[in-house]
Amino acid sequence: MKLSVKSQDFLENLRLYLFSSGKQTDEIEEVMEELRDHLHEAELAGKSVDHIIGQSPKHYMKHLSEEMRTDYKGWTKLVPIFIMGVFAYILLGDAINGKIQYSLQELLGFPIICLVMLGVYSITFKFMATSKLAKLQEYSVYAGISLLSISLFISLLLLDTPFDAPLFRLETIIGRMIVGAIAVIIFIGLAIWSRNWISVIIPAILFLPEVITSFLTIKGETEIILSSMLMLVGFLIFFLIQSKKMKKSEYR
Amino acid sequence: MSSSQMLKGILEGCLLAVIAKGETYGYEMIEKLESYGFTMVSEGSIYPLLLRMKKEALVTARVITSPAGPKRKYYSLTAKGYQEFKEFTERWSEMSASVSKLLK
Repeated sequence: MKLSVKSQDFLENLRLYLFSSGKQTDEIEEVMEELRDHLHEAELAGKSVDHIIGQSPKHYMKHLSEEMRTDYKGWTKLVPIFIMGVFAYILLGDAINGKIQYSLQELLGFPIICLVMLGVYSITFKFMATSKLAKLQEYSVYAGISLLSISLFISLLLLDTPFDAPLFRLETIIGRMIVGAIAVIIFIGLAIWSRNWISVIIPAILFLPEVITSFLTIKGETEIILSSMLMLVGFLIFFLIQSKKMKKSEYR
Repeated sequence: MSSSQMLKGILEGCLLAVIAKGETYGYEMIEKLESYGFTMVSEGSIYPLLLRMKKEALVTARVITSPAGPKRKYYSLTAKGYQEFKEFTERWSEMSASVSKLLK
């Protein structure tokens, strides 16, 4: 028998909550498995999820989380990995556009922004897991965080005065190719580590069109239009495949 | 001690008692508790307690995959768990005797 939508929602929110509270993945899965089994039996007996969680889901999630170990070691691993991932995007973009030079301000600023954003993600996910938001509100929250991260990066770039001497500069083609290769290796490494190809697919969709069109003889506006269209098509295909996969897993 | 803390202490003692009767899993514990009239306990509240009891080495758990159903986690008492259960029984009989005497 399949669990009711309400029970499934509760379990997914619980996973999100425990994950953003920094609990160990194995322990989270164990608790999830146990609760899924319980909810399954309870629903067979005609009880609802409210009966099981009591007071409030928020209270219950907090209570469970307090009894679980926080995986500080896992988090200290996650932070540099996250920063590396963000850096790889910046490096690859700059390697393709041919402007690899960073000031001290940028080199310090990027990791700090990453840390701030990790904190923001953790708090937001916990909030989202415990409050019942409509789909539209959920999307607005996601849009809000994306906007925040983009504006943080932009303000860093604006604050960076052109008079500051770059600390690091690479202008040769070979230098750019090496930096690009490093970024690609990071993306592949992330994919292997997370067992998910998404960290290769997204940068490929974002950057490949630019690389492809730069080899063509077209120049100027046509090049920009063609590369943006390729990117759009790439994302469309990606979302189509993703939504098909989601539908399949629902019928499991 | 707040009333919810007291209730938690009592519930933990009752869980020790249920598990002492034989290896069992979460939903079965709730069914047993209900058969003794514990209907005020919200079902999910046993899991944070079980997590803590496992951390304190009062219980051990093993996962058994049943051929028909999903994976299921079975709990049993450790030596320390039996000791704690014995102490709870003594504390409880003392306390309940005094309370009923007082209320008479």
